Amino acid sequence: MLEQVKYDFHSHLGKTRSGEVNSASQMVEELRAFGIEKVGICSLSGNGVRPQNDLVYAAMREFPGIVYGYADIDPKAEDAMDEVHRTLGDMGMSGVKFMSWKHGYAVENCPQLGDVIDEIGKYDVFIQIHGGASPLCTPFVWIEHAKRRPDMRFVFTHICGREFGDSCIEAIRHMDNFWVETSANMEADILRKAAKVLGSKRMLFGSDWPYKPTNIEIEKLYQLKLTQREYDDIFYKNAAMMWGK
Amino acid sequence: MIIDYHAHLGWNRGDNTYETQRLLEDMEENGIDIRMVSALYGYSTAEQNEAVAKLAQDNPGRILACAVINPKERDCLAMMREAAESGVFRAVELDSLEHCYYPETCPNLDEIIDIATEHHMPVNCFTGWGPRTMPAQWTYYAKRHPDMRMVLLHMGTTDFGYGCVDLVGQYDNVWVETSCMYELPILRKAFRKIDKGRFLFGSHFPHKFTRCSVDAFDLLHLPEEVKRCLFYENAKDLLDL
Repeated sequence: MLEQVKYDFHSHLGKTRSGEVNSASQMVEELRAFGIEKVGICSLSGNGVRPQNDLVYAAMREFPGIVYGYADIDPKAEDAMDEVHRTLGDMGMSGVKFMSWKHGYAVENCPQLGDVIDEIGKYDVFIQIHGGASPLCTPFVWIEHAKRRPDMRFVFTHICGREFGDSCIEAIRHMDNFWVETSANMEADILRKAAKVLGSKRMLFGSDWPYKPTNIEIEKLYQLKLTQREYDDIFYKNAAMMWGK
Repeated sequence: MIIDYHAHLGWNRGDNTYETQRLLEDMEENGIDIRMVSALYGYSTAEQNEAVAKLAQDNPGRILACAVINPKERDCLAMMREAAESGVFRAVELDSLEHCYYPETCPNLDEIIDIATEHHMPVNCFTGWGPRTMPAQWTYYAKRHPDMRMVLLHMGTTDFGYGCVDLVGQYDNVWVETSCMYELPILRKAFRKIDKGRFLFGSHFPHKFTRCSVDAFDLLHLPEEVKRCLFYENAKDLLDL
C-alpha cells in the first residue's frame, strides 16, 4: 500500500470550525506517512475567501511541487472576478473550488455564476465542486454548466456523497468533461458503481484531510480489488493530469 | 473481541434470497465475533424478520437478531409483540427514512417502545440522513420513556453529528452507534464529551466495508479501555451477553 504512488486531489488547510489548529507542515507530514507525496488543497473554514486563499498560497510557497492550491471563489461576492485573477493569475493556483453550501447560494439561481466560470475557463484550470450533504449541492444543477462548456474540466468531490452518489454517476456517465473524487463517500455500492460505470480514468483519490481518517480513505479503494493500472489512474495519474504535471 | 452492533442482511430481489453466507464470511474475514443483524430489504418486514430470525437460530452465539418494525403498518403492534415474545430478537430497529415518517408525530411508536422496554430490548433508531432522521426527533421518546434504552444509529452522521454529541449527554438512557461516522472533529468531540460507556461499534455491513468501519478509529489513538468499551464491553452490557 505504501509503495503505490499517491497524490491527494482533495484536502483542506486552516483551523477547523471546531477550533482544531493545523499547519501545512503537519498536513504534508501526516499524508506522507501514508505514502501521499502531493496534495491539492483549498481552505473553507476561515473568515472570508481572501484570507483563506492567502493561507493556501502560503502553503504552496512553503511546499512547492508538493502542495497545489485551489482558489475558493464565492460567485456572489462583488470582487469574485478580482479574486479569480488574483488566485489563478498572480498566485498560479491549479484550480477553483465551488462550495455552494458554505457560501449559501442555489446554483440554478445565481446569475453571476456563468460569467465567473467563463473567466476561470480562460486559465485552463479545472473546477472542483462540492457534491453532497446539502440540497444546495446536488449534481444536476452543475451539470448544465459543464454541458455548455465541453472544453472545461469539472470534478465532483465525494462522488456527491451517499445522498447523490448514484444520481451523480448516472448524470455524468456520458460526460467526458466530468470526473469524481472519492473522499468521504464510504458507500461500497457507490464506489463499485463509480469504478464500473465511470472507470478509473474518471476517478481521483482524495483524503479530505484533516476531516477524514486517511487510512480508510485509502483502504476502501483497495477493497474494490481493481488492477494496478486502475489504481495508478485513481491514486495519481489523473491528479497529475489535472494539475498539469 | 469485536461485537458489531449494527449490520444488515443483504437481499437479492431477483431470486428473493438473503445473503447469509456473504455476511458470515465477512465476519470471518474481519474478526467480528458477534454481529447484530437486521434486514431492511425484502418483500415485507415480516419476511425480512423471519430471515433474520433463521440466521440467528442457525448461528447461535454469533448472530443476534434485531427486528425491524414499520410503525405505519396495520399490524405493527402485533408484529412487535410477537417479535418480543419469540425470545429470538434482542433489539428492535426503527428506520424513519426507510419507512418514511417523522418520528415526533408518527403513531404507534410509544406503544412499540413500551413493548420493547417490557422485554428489555434496546430500541435502535436510524439517524443522520435528512429531515426525518435527526437525533432530536427521537430523543422525545427517550425523555418520555425513561426506562427504555435508545441507541442512535450512526450518531447522526456528519449531517447532525456535532449536535448529536451534545444531545446524548442530556440523557441517561441513550447510546450511540458509530457506523457511518468518519468525521474526525465529530469523533474527537464525541470521545471527549460522551461517557465511554455509551459507544457501540457498528459496521453497517454490507453498505460499508467492515475493515474500514473497524479501522476508522485508528488515527484517534483511543486508550485501550475506551476501545474495549467501544468494540465489546458496552454491547455486552447492553445486551446482557
